[in-house]
Amino acid sequence: MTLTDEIEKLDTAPTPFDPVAASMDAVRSVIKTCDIQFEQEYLISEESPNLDTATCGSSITLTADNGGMILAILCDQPTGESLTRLLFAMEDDEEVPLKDMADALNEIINVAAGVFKCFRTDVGQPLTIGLPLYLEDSNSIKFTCPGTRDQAKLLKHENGSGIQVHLIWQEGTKK
Amino acid sequence: MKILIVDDSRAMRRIIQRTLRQAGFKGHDIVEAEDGAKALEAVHAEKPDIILSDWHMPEMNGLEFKQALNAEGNETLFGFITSESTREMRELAAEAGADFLLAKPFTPDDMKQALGMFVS
Repeated sequence: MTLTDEIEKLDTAPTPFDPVAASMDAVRSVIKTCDIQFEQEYLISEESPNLDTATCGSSITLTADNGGMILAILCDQPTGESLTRLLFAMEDDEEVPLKDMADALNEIINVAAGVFKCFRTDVGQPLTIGLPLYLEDSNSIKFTCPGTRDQAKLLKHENGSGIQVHLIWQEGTKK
Repeated sequence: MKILIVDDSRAMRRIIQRTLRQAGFKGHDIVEAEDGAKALEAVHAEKPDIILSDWHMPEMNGLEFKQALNAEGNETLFGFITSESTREMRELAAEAGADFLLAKPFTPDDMKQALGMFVS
C-alpha cells in the first residue's frame, strides 16, 4: 500500500474546511505527541518540507460524514531510526528492524491523530480515525493524484532531525 | 499485582511499562497481549488484577474486549489507554463499565492520577 493508494480512496475534504487552521491543528498534534509521549521537542521550522527527502513515514485517514483527509508524518531514514531507538530504548548503534520502525512511526501518527481528532471536534468537525499505514520507502510516499491538496510543515529537533507533517485532502467533485 | 497491557503496538506497550515505572508503580508483574482476542485468552490464563487496554486494535478492539469480559461476568479493574479521548468515546467507555480512560499522549503524572486510587 502506498500513500497514493490511500489518497485515491479519499473523499473530498469535509465541509466547511479551513485548510490553514486544519493544517496548524495537524502540526500542533504532532508537536504535542512528540513532546508529551516521546519527550522530544520539535519546533516549526521556517524551511519548506521537501517530499523528495522523505524515505519513510506513516499516514492515517480521518473521515467525517461528509468527507475525509489524511494526516502523514514523513522523515528520512536516520530520523526514523532515531525515533524507533528512542521508543524501544535501544542503543545508539543497535540495528533497527523494519517492523520496529513501522510500529514506532505508526504509533506516533496514531497518537497524533487522536490529538488532531480532539482539536477538530472542538471546532465542530467530528472525525473517525482509521488504521495507520507505514510508508517504507520514497516510492510509497510520492504522490501525484489529480485534485490532491497538501498543506505541509517541517518540524525540526535541536539535534537536526526533521519530521514533515502533511495534511492531504482532495478537492473537486465528491466521489 | 498483575497488570495486563493490551495494545497492538509493541512500542506503546513498552511506553506504558516505562511510564508505569516512572509513575512509581514498580515491582508488579506485567503481562502483554496485542489484541482483544489474545487479551481474553491472557485474562483466562493469567488472571490479572488490572487490565490496561488500547481501543483500536485488529481482530477484537478494546470495547469488544471489555464487552466480552462483561459477558463472562469478569469484573477485573479495567482502564482504556487510547488516543480516542473525545467526550463521546469517554461516555462509551463508561457505559461499557471501564473504570477509567487515560488519553494518549500521557505523562507519568497522568498515569499516577488514573491508577493511583487502584494501585500502590
